[in-house]
Amino acid sequence: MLINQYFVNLPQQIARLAMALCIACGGLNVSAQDDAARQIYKAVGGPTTPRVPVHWNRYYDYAETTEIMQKLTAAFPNLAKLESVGKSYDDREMWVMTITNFEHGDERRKPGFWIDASIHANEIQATEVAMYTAWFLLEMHGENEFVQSLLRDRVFYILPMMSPDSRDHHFYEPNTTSSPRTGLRPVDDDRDGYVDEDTVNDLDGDGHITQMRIRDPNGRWKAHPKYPNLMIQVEEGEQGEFTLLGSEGIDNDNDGRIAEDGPGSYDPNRDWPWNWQPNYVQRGAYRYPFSVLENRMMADFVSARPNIAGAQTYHNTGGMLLRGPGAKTDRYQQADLQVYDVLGQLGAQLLPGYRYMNVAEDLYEVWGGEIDWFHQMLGVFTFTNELFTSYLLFHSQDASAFGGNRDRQAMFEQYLLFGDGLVPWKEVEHPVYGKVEVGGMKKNWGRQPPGFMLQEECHRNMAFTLYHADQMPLVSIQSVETKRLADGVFEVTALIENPKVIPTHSAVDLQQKITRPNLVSIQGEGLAVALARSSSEMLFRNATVYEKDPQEVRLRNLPGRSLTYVRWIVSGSGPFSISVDTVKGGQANYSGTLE
Amino acid sequence: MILIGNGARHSIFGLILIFSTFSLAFGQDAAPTGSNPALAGYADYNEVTRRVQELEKSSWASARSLVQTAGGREVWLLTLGDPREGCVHPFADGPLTVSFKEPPAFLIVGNVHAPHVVGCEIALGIAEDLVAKATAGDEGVVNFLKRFTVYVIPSPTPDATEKNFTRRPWREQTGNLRPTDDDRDFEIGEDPPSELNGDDWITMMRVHDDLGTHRAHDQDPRLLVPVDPKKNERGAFRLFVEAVDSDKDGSFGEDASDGVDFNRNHTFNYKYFGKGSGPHQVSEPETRAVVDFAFDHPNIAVVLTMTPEDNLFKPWRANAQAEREAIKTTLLTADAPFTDFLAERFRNLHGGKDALESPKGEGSFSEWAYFHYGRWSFASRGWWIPKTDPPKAEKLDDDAKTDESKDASADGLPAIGPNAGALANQDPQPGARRGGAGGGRRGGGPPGDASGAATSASDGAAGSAREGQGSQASQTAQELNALNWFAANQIEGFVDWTPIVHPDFPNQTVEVGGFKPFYRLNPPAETIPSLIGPHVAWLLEVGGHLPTIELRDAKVESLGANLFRVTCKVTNTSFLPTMPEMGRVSREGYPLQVILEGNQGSKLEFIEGSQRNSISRLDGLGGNAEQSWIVRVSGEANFSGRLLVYGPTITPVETKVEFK
Repeated sequence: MLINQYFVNLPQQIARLAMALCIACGGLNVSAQDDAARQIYKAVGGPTTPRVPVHWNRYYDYAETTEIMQKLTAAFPNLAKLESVGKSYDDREMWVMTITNFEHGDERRKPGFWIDASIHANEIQATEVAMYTAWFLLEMHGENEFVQSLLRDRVFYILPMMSPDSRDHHFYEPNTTSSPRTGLRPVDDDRDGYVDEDTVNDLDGDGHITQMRIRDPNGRWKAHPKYPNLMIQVEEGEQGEFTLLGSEGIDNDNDGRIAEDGPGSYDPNRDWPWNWQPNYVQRGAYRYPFSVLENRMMADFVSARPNIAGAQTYHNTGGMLLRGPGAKTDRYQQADLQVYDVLGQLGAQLLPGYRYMNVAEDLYEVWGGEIDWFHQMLGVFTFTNELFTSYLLFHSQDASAFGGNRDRQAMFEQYLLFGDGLVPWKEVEHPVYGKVEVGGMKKNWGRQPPGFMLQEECHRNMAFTLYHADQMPLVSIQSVETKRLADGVFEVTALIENPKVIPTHSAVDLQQKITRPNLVSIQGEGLAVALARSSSEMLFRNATVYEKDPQEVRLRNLPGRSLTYVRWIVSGSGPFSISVDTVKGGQANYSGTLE
Repeated sequence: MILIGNGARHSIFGLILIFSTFSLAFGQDAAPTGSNPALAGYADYNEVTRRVQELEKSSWASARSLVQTAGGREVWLLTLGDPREGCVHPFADGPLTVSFKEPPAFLIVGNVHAPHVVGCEIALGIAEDLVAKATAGDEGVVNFLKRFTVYVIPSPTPDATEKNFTRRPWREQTGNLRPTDDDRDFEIGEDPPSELNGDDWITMMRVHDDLGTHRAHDQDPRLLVPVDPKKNERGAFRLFVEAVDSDKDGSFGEDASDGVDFNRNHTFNYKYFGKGSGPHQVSEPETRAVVDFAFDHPNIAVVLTMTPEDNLFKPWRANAQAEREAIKTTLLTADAPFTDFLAERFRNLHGGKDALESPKGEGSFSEWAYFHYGRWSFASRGWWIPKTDPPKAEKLDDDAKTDESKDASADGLPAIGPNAGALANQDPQPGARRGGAGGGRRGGGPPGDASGAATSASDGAAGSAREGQGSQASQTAQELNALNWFAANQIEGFVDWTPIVHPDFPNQTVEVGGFKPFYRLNPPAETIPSLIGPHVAWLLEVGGHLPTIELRDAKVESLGANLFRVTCKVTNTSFLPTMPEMGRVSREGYPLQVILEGNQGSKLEFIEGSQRNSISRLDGLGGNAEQSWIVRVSGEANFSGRLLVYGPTITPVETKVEFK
């Protein structure tokens, strides 16, 4: 279902048209054939002649992102479809792209991988990483065997904008690199009966909420000697130049507080049911789990697809591959942690400067975060990549804190961005403070990589996620042996394999009985099944016996990198078939004859 | 058949009731239907709707639907208040959130536990009583409804409630129409309790077994009690809910696809993956509608829930140790004096005795209202079986000793007890059967639902949150008391054990019997009117204790140069604080706003202080906060202004100030 309702306001519409031209240019100047000819010497690791050229060194607003998705689905009708799970609070579509080889197998029965991004809308490059992934899978399908097999056996569900309203708010309204983290529902944050009456004020009208300073010979701040736009504290006894006054703003509602009641204020990533706690336990929860309807719509979509066996939800920042649990009182089971470790440790190598960590112990406590819902309530192995890290500025750990060492960041800004990351200080009139100066970091610098680094971020993070997706369970029947025990009585042994790291059932899935067991069945006309047994080893020394319904063995799990032996004793003869039917690990079939 | 509304309502409520495909799929009921004899005289959905419509004819009440359920029923909300005056807010014309302009409010929610139908009757009865008295000019009620709004949601989960009225065989059902896999075996509703002895009541079945887990009770062999291994007791029975093991998994009647229980679907102490708790917290349309209504109405100061999880006879206890934790799970010490006092007042007005222990909620509404919504939250069962003397001469002086008595011959033999009539040695009430009024003291004694896990079936084999509370001895005592009360009132609330042939126990003696559902949870319908009065009286009294704000010692001092210091003391003269401490801790309570503003022609420049201050919480009994400003006044002559205090749960006050 394509809905063309994404013209939200005029500036966006203009931006969108500009974007459309930009996309068109790439495709119009040279025909695909010319392009192929020009790229005989191919830059490896990417598509030679993309059908939908996209520049991955810039950011796209809601309308532009929508358009790229529409173009991709139009260009790859057999590999991609686009639908909306519903409309956001401010009437934008919640787009999901489904990407798989639709000509090969039933999408709903393939192991599914979920990708979403930018639930915190200010963490904008998350959307580009998700979009790059969709683009890459589609554009590379024709020229890369790995991608081809992924789309043959797997299905990807990609929801690149979890908070589309706030994404556009970040683009088109005054913000910092850290706002808006919230959705835009009106909330009376200061509980005075007036809703959203004291939001930020962009005093210089440049679209960036920066800092305010006032000249003060007795102030405790001065300009950095090398990077004059950077403010530093003076030494003991040293003469200062300025007093800092915080972020640009006015006390619009005369209660003595500045910008304490803007749009929203809830955190969409504290809105998920597992271990949910209200706002007082940690800032951010809205009314109850899934009271943020965008999340509820997404959850309905995911819950209706139990084939989803892996998930990634992109955030920024800090260079982390995060797994749950979010709360220190919570525990993931050991068997599940072993799976996370295999995936996370490889990921940390693919992503220089990134660390594999868990939320509660290594970061901070999160109650009601999305990845806990995925793992603890759906049994799905899920990572959050916190995109971008100050390590990448100079490929060194000397700036490993959040935002990095300020001197190093300023140096990068001066010598690599040539001043493009900062608003120089300028004088404005403040209604209360009088003449002040505003300046500092732009909203598009700090948490987001600059354009020239964006594509590498996209690619490396995608690579980790594709590895994760590739390690979802994928069952096969390695072999079937038959042995005649007596006239018309046979022993049939099937060897079921899951060669991947991830089991069909996580430990928590088994504990909470989330996903039905794997069904391994034998069928044949006139075949009577007397007994079945299963074992993890060929000698059946630890066998499980199935007396009830032995023709359909219910295997609770096919562990990661495992072989499972299923043995039937049957009477009868002739053609028979064996099928393995799993929810999260796909299916496998075998046909043979008993004689 | 489940009936979806009726035609008459449409014109009154302006609703168009549409069968959605969802309601067609799940709303229609494949199960046999009928009319539950245990609930004779109680209002079913259609009757509740009719009474809501009737109330709406009064100018003191209005009604609307909060949501339509999957079964096509409306969750009715009644709003009671003074239609003419209400509360005139000083900023009534301004952009203030609507609910700030409405008077402080009570929210009364009935029947959160669906089989507890008396909860609906009391909630609706309170509304009817208030409207009748206001209409008759009762001064106390008129003044109450001038100062407060009363929101009443008599039946928040009507699909679940209606199952108890119409869906045979009769058992206490708590969930709505969402299909659920109650035993988490990936099949839905494949093993419900089943009617085996032909009486249409789902009771218990006992299988004779010399290695069993239960034995007959010494005093009354109809009752079964678990064997006590510490006494080397031997059992005679294994006990199950009345069912066939349809799915051959060894459990009986464990999956009737009972749906989602409104009173297990809330966020506080939610039980994940629990029976009846839903796919996640607040998953159901009716839960969301009620909770959203509450959040959208910050003027709600007090929540009263009708539920077996009573906290008026058994008040919540504070725990100074536990409340140091970041996540609060016990009544806060600072709130205890207030809740204790109001609960005591309720007990005095109610007059009941010997109340049962209250079960601990899991995802319950009333606990949510305090711990997550931050409001004063009270919960009333309304009724329980009054303490009734045994029919025979000997008396038991201590409930707890009942189980210890040594006069009997529990030797493991099945004992078919005497029938109810034979047990009664008191004078039966003439004509009394179910609903024999006047047999016991009105309103005393424990309600049935929480008792008798051993000999009663409730909501399938898994039981409900309302069972299993209290010691075995007190449960047994309650069961004995219930039998006494049944006998005294000629109520057939117990099914005597009778043998049946059971397919799962081909060579064993199996008997079906035990307590009928509903009879210990809901009183005879004739009792209902007498339960309303105490609740209304208590609500009026609580109204008198809600905060009254005064602006005391308002003063203006001239400091020269057109500078003035303005001071005042915002004071709460009532018993209750402006919000519970939990309201402050949870940040769900709304602070008071204090404003100093100049009248037209007077421009105030705030030298010290902001024009508007907020006060997070004021204690009761004189709790106050001093306010102080220094302003420079300019403009025309005769400078004046006013001080205002407002907040959604108080009546706003203002006072004039003169700058001279």
